[in-house]
Amino acid sequence: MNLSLFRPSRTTAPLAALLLLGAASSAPPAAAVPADEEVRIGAVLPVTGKESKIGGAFKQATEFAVKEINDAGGLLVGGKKLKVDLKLLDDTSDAAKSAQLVEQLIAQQRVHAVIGGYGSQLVQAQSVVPERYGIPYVAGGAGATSIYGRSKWVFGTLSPVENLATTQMEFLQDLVAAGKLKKGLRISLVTENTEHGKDFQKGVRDFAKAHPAEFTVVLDESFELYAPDFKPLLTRVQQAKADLFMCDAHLEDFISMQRAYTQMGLYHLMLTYGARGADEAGRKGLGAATDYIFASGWWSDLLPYPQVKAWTAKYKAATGTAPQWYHATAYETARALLAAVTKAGALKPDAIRGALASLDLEDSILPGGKLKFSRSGQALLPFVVTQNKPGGKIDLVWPKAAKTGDPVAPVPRS
Amino acid sequence: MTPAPVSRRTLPWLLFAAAGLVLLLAPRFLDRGSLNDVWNVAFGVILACSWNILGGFAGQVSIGYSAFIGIGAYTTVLLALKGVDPYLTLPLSALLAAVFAVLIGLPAFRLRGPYFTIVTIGVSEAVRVFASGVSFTGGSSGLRMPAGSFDFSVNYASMVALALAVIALTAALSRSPFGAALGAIRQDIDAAEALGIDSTRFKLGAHAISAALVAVAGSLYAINFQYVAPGSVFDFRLSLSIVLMPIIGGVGTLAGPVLGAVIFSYLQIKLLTIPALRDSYLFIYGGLLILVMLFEPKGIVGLWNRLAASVRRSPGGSDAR
Repeated sequence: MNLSLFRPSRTTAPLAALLLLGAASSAPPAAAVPADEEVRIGAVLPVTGKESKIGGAFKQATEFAVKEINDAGGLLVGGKKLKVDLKLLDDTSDAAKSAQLVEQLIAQQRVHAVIGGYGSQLVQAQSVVPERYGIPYVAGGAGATSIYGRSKWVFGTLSPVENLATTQMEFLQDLVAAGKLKKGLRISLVTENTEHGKDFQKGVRDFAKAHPAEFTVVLDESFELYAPDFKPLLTRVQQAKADLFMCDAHLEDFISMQRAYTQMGLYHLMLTYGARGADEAGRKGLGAATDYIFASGWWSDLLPYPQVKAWTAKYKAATGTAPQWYHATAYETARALLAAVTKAGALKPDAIRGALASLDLEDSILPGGKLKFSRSGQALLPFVVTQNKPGGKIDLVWPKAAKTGDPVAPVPRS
Repeated sequence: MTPAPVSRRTLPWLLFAAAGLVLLLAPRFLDRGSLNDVWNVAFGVILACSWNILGGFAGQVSIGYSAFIGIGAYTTVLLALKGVDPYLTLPLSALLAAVFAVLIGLPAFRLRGPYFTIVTIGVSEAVRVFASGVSFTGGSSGLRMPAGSFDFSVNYASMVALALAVIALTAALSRSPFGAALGAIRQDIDAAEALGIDSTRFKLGAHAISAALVAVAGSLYAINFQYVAPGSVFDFRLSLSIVLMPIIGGVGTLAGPVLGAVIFSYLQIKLLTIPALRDSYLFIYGGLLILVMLFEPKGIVGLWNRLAASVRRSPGGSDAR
């Protein structure tokens, strides 16, 4: 029997080990620590892959925030203006790569702080790294509460998803009080099987449990993130014959599910996809099928603050993009981190972390107008509710004090 | 008295041991970033060499090895969350993966060639979908290790030691009767069976051994990253890259998978850190794969051997007359 094809030669064993050794020796023995003549900020975002639609927006807004600072001569740190060097990497929407790249930025590129990614599952993977190296980390794209409170180095500008759900329930409750919807509303609750989805589910469930006369959850199901086909799930939704359809989904899943929902001719008195619905990408992809969906984003250009109007105009003029909630939170995340560096007056990780923990960012464009982090590291800001109207119009419908139009309830049958 | 000359058989192993020692002592002279790179390469080496036992030696091309990484990773995280020391979970990870490999192998090895390969893809996807759909895996969000369960130096040493052990094991296997039987199966399964080789038993053995090794690597991966999710550890792209590494380096050889792993693991993460070259690793691997398929099915090692042979035959070469 001729075994020569698979029998290794005598040189292969040492060659194999030498290759491993080569990998080790190809790295510099001790990476030179760059001088602190610039502020090195790392960012790992899903610029390509499944989360690229919003990841790309995060990239644009983060770069815009840094450019603004650099164009103004740099960031004030300890009485000196320093240029901000943004090292932005793409994790291709892959959680394992995401964590590895954060590690690369910290261990090899020696960044002073890191801006986290978008998507709770990617941020979950990244968020273990800052603790390991003792480097401040601020995520602008993860609202799942389980990410926060584990490490003193991890901060986030998105308020908890559970609060998002509660806000939506309060909005619905107000519609009942106003007589637009009748008591005893039956809810079909459908959530992605992520921490994000679980938080939304908890918010709805807890509220319904506390208000049994007004709400009952009659269907409570979860689905796989980026599921290929939603028709089986929506068939069960149809069979549940609920009054309200409440779903929590990522942008891609929202587009696929709402397309299937429309094709199947489903109808509910009110429907929401959590934070999705007002997104330009969704409206472009689905057109009139998104009309009357209500959504609770972490920001809206309809917020009645002068700084929001000014920033929206500035952003549109500079980038040609009408900002969505993710542009705003990405921008505010970068701004909060850079403000903390200035407040710290030094590039030492402990000082930046301390400044983040006690940050009170005035004139914030986020709801509430002030950005600060709670003890867990997660910002606790109010939510707004918007509703899509025909013709591409969006109205802010909650809170009442800030509304730009009346909510349409129940949704007219098409 | 002159020292006894080192035999040609011993020298390679002395060099291997020396290189291994240097790698294990690397934390004394390399910075953390470089150690991370070595860790990545060692992880790739384990995956590629382990796959090579079944795919290279026995010629059974499986594209479902991420399932074993996931089994190892989840075994460790789930037990660590129950309070078990993560390193004590490694034997159980290996055992569970080996049992799963046998259970899957029993029906799958009834098929040959591309039919077997398609089944492995199906099994791996089924495992991913199952893991994403059940709650004990944390669903699509995955699970995090309990706080305080991480020490990089221990993890680094374990990963490098495992990589060295896997290289040594595959070398030993290739020289053993077991390896000879796998080679016979790869070359002509019917002829091998006619010679009395129970092909199913040997293929199951190779599958179980390689699965166990990959699962231990998966456990160490989970300990290092402190987080696992079905989308990461059961990812089809991961299964594909496990196959790509040995194919590019040289399937069925000892150095080939190591070479493929070094190129793949090191270049991929380095290129991702250069925004302009972000996607170039896909072109590099695609290009290398096309070149290998078209011109040198034995990979870079085969090309090296061909070049070395032509140099030896050239005038002035060692084989020149």
